Amino acid sequence: VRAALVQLPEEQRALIDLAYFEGLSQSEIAERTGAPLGTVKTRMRTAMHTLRSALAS
Amino acid sequence: MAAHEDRQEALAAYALGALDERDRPALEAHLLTCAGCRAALDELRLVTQGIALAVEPVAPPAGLRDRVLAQATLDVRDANNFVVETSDRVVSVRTTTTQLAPFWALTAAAGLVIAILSGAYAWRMNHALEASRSERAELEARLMLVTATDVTRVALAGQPDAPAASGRAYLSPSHGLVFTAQSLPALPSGRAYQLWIVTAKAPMSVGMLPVAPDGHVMVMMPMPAGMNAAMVAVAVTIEPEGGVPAPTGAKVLVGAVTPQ
Repeated sequence: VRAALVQLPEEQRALIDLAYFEGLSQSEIAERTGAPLGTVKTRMRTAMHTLRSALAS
Repeated sequence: MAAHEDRQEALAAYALGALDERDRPALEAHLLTCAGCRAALDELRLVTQGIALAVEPVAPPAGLRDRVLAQATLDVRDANNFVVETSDRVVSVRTTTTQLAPFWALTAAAGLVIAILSGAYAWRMNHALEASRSERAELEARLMLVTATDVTRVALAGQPDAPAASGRAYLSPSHGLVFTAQSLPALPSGRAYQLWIVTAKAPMSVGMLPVAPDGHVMVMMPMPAGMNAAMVAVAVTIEPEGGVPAPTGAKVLVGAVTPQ
């Protein structure tokens, strides 16, 4: 997972950091980063699915 | 399809603990009924655990160990010196000692918390006991009343304005009265049900009825003061909130008093 995290696009990794380590919700992340809520949701899903694939392989 | 996409996004956020509060109940409700989503969530949770383990260990700055050890050695030497040489620094050492050993303070604080909690518990139990005592006293009073030798039972029938309603009154000149009714229709605001005992001379107000939202009421009330004529009937009318001295509104329940 660590390797996969490093390979994530910067904006997706930042998202995981904010959600997991800073405990922010999606709305709070959208507010903090200025990204639309829909974008935050999609990126978070993409990041989690990428990491899941990395874990499975 | 769109709902499926949304759910995938929600599950990812949920596993990260980042799903907005307002979206959580819907997803949790869905998870109860959807094994597929539960399985997907389990996989995503493995990812979350992986993230926790993936944190890079941070190497301490070079030389930290030496600096800490050097500082510690210095402190020990200092401590040995000032205990012997200067009395004012001994005072500061004592202060430090006290701060390092607050066990008694913790114990006392814990004791205080326990005392407060058990006090509150006792108070609540006492309160509950009081409540059940007063409930019991009230039930006993009602029982005394309905079994009194001078009690008159009156059945009340619903009138055209409340055909489904019915009621019963127990009138005891020595103990007061108990009145029960059910299926009383809800009233518009500003209107209330008032109970009357109609005597050969005039209707006497007993009081306002605290009818529950389901149309049920059971009350024990004193007999109206100054009743000096034979009771003829018991009635309930709809009146302005707060009541009126003599009935003005529609009768909803009426029952004749028959000698028993």
